[in-house]
Amino acid sequence: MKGPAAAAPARKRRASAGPRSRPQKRPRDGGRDGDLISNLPDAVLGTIISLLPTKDGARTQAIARRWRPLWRSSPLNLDASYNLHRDEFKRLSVVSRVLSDLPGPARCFAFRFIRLHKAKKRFAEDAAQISSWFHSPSLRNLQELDIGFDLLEYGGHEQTDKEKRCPLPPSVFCSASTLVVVSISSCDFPREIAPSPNFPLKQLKLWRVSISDDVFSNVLSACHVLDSLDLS
Amino acid sequence: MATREAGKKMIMLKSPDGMEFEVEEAVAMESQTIRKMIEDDCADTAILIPNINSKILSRVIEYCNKHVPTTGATGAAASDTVAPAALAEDLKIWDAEFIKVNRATRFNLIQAASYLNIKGLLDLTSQTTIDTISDNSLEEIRSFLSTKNDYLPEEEQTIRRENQWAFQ
Repeated sequence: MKGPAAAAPARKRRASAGPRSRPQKRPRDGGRDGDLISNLPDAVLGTIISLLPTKDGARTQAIARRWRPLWRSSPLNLDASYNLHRDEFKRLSVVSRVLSDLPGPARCFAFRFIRLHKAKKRFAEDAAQISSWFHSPSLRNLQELDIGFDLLEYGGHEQTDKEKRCPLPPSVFCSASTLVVVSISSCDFPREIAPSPNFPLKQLKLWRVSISDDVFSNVLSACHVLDSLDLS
Repeated sequence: MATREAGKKMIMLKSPDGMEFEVEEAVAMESQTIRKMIEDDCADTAILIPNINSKILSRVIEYCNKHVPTTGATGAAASDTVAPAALAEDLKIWDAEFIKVNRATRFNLIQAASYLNIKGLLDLTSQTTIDTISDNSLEEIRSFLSTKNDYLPEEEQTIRRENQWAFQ
């Protein structure tokens, strides 16, 4: 009796000395999903994280040590929807924060109904903040962009000429050399853009925007592989 | 089953356990990884797919066969004759049946979809995991993942503070 009883704790000690080097033995399909998830390589976990809504992706850093570096090294799909922050003004600073925190690269960035403060000074600050996003290294290889603004003033039915729309920051065109799918809504395009030889754009959707003939033809003539254009 | 038809280029995929699968090039190119190999001319007559056994590889090919944009015998797109909505509905039902597998198979499929870079298959196979992480508290996620919280309390606090926006 004495022998086995004394040996048992010793075995236990040995096992606990190197818990990380030894995978836990569990039945192949008897445990919960997590047993199997933990066996997936970091790259696969990273892919799963990049499929999560932005906020949930960031929260995975706090699960355990192994998860901590994964969010920052995963390709980012930044979706600034209601889920990111309930306050529509604070959502701007959260986006700035995420973009400055992450080394990138973001694959896709969606922010519809961006709302700017109406007071002149705050409006300028918000506009500058939005403009700065497109200079961020995180958006350097952006492939998909879905951006739209809240109207500054609503013109009423059938009175779109009385609408006041936010300006689209010219810096958006900084990412144009990698963008493949773009949707832009409810804003005024810049009056002129630097001519670009080549946009790899395949799908372009413009909804309720004001764009001059010159800028429009400049954009279109740079798109050599466009296969879908949706205007309304 | 894929049959050899005139004008359709075939590709041989080999699993590490020695099985060979002959598939149409278009089907194989549902995988962005294989597409890149073919486009970069790195693909010989046969492509060895490491780490994916024949059982999983055959399921992956089954998925790609179903999801490849189909062309009829005359070369006209099938979507010209079948309403796209009906086609999408049919695929959804097929996907739901396809994913009725045990957990081990599902996680092997996640790994295969990630390596082969097949977005639709990855979305389909990792949906349960994504839903769980999205809908639950950290404690619940850890319990689902059977993962022990190995942070010191102050370390966890630091992460929460540094990413305050994500924990509100």
